[in-house]
Amino acid sequence: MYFPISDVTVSPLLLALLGMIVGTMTGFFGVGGGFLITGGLLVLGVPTIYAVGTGLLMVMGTAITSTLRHRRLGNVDVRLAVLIVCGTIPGVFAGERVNSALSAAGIAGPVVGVVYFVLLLSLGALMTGNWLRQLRYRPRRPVGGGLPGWFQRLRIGPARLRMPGRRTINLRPAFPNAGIAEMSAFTPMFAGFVIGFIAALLGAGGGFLLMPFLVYGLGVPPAVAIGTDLFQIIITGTLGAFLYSLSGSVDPIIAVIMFAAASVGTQLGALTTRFVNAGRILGLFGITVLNAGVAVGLGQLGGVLDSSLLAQISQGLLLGVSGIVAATILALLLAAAAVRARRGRRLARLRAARRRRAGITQAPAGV
Amino acid sequence: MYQTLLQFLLQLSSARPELWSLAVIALMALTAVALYFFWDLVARAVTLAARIWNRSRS
Repeated sequence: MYFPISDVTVSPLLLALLGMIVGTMTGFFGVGGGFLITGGLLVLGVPTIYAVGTGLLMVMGTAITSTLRHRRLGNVDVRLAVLIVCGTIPGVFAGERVNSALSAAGIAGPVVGVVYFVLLLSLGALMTGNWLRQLRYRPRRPVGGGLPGWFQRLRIGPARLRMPGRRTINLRPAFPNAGIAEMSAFTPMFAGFVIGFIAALLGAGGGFLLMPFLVYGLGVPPAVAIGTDLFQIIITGTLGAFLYSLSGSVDPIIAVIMFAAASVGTQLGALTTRFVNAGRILGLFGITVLNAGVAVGLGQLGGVLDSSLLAQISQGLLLGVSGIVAATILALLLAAAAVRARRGRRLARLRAARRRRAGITQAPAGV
Repeated sequence: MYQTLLQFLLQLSSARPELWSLAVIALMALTAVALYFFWDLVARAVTLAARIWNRSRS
């Protein structure tokens, strides 16, 4: 099928397959999947500028659908998400400034590449390592060790803000959905600023940084971290898509085709978080991030050595492993559904047997 | 029809970029909300059908 806006011919079936993989991962991990969409569209032959812009538009759409689904499941802490967004927006503008300065100096490409590679590799290694350790023995300490307590005890700024009309605003509120009894409102704002800054510097949505921070840094349960993270991605995705479409670098037809398939994936991915334990979610996420780090590293190496083969291997690795992870998520959902169905059948059989027994014992009494 | 629509979209993106950007964002947001409600309805219908089937079997 020919797409006149981006001037490219791509099979809509392949676009739908890519959308399905991205949607499943977005619903399950709570990341925008920008790195995957852009990489996938590049492999399909879409020009780079359209791949990035269309990817951001798609990130926005999948984040909206996933957030609505996670909100229905009770996985979104709106207060925490709004405070993070308050810090993310100025962080994005600051990061964009630094990115522009690096571009003007002609060192943006290598700096962004190295920072991206180091961040993805270290985060992926940390999360996969934690998961493997959990598989070997059940640790008594909570996820993240003492870090969540430290962040929650931080006293930044005043506890209350007195307003002119005698109203006071509590600046150390509770975050019930996230399971936090009390925390300074400035802590998530500051974290949002740092994450927004790094995200804008790297040209990413920041989901792959925020989700681990919420889990390991603030001690938020993984399912709630995913929902809250997605709420923040709606804002960053919308801002990015708007800026890219101003320069006409977005193909909405490609985005809508991919999104139609992704919407199925987001529903299934979000539903799977109900049945899969936290350790497995973090483990699979760690593998995905680690794989993305290796793929980025190979891509950078390909650029330095001017090797198109390394670049192709990097894209293949990114798409291949992501496809396997998405298939694993769907398999976990099917397994959970089968277990529930078996349990339901056993329960129905037990009830029928009880009813039969009650009928037998009641019959002589009636005679 | 398709060609005319494409011509219109291409002209809009080059002549009025702000309007084009807002239209693109609005289109995606509306599609997202509409698809969410569509799949939600499908899921409810499937659950209801499964419940009725289980009840009729027992």
